[in-house]
Amino acid sequence: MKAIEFEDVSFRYEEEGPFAVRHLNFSVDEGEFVAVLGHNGSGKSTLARLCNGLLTPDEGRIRVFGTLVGDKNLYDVRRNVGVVFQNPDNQTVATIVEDDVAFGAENVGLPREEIGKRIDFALRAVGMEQYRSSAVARLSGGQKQRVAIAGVLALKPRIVILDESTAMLDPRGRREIVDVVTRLNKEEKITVLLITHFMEEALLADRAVVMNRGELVMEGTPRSIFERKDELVTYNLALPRIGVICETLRAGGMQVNYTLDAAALAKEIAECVS
Amino acid sequence: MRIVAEHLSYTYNPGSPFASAALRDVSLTIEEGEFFGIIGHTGSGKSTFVQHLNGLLRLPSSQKHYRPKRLKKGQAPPPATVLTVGDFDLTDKKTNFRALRKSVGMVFQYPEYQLFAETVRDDVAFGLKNFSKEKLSDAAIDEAVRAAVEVVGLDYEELKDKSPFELSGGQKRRVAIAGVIVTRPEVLVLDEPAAGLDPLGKREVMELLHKLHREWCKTVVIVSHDMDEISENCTRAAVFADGTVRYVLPPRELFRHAQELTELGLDVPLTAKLTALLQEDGIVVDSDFTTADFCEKVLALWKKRKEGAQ
Repeated sequence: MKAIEFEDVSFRYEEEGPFAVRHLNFSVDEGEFVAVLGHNGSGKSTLARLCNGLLTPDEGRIRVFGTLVGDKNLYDVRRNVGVVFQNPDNQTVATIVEDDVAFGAENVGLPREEIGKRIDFALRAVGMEQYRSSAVARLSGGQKQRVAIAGVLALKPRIVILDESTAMLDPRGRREIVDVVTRLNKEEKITVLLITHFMEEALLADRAVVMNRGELVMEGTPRSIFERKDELVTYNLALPRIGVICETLRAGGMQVNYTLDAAALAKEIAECVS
Repeated sequence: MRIVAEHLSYTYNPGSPFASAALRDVSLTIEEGEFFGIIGHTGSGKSTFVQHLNGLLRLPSSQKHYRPKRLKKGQAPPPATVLTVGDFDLTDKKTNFRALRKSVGMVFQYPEYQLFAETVRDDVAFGLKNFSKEKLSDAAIDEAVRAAVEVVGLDYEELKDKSPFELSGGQKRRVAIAGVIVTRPEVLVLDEPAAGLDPLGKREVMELLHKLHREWCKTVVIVSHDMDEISENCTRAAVFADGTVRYVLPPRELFRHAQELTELGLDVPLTAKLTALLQEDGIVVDSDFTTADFCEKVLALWKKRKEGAQ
């Protein structure tokens, strides 16, 4: 089953303005982990906001699990599609972790005991159980983002969208989020749409797509995308550094196989020079 | 301006249950003309250190003069704290901190969140007006703002009357940097200048910083989590951990300590990772850990071996 389907979707923020998303056809399978790449202003965030009805398309149709996204079912759609944004400090509403996680669940009117269970589940899923009664303000950026994810998980969504949720974190915080998301995808079978600037993060996805000027311009496994180096450059994207090293060595005449794994590349180099 | 810190300690909320020591006996010298990197994970004390450089955090007045009332026999008095930026003595209460802040520009993380004025010109001019003792003429302000906006790579005529909020993310960040350098600081300190930008934006910001380093500010200090950024750009880097400075080395020597850095919870550049992996196989790649030099050295090894085989 398709989790998300875009059918010829166009959107612009202002009448007469440029299209942020243009004639987009795009779909995500249930349980899939898709990375969305693209430079600033390429339409990635617009895509995320269209998925759960924060924005409504000017043209075309969007379906989530087969249901057309429209004014009447927005709340149902949003229970299925959770979005985590970029800034950890803008996404918390309560002062204590468990209250924050409960916020969404309380808003949809779940019974009290159920909310308690959801908080347990959500905090466990992001590895923050021991912070249940902590003050949100005293957490690190990575921990705050994990609380934000937990708040989304408390609604038991089938799709989680991360809109550059790691951009403001340090490497440790980034790893925490990426680990949580990968586990949710593998263990809870949650469909994940990961929007990111970090090419290394995209490598974890089943599939990657590249946006440019509101259009979907590349699609494939992350590896196949990073093999099309020249094309990436025209979309103002860069190879992950390991790709640059591979390319440079190959350009110098060394027969190393193109790889995106450090240990494998070290092995390739070792074979060539020893 | 040379930056010298000796025996610098700082505790937040001293004497309360929330007391936490952010800096413990830090000694660090940054020479004039450096492109200096500061590394460390969250909570390592790097921001606390950086905030001392333009007096945002000041030494508690007790600290410099602190001496135990009664020294035990033979006990040496604790070493005095030194903190100077050029001729400014930051341990002295009488120091002119206004003049210091004009000389040490500070660009915080996500500086574009601090844009506030109605036009780009007003926003960039804000610091300039605040720092000057006399009222500047419009012409003088225009000239200084134009120079700052142009050096960060933006078109002054096109943008001066626009709202800074209409600009793209990369442009906003440039305007925010222009608003700091407009006072012509000798030292420019930036906290994570490239965070949150796409790869091209990152490269452009780093190129801009090198340009500023050449033409505008003698010394540039960046705080960064991106080790590749440090290895590609910095003359030297200091590693902070638990409020102390563990290493102060040029990148080419620093990243030889790949294992120790990893143990501190820090990343190392990919080139350092590869160098360590190759070392396990007995292959020594002696590079400065920039991508270009690393590849060059590997290719040289490969060519040497090929010639040897013939």
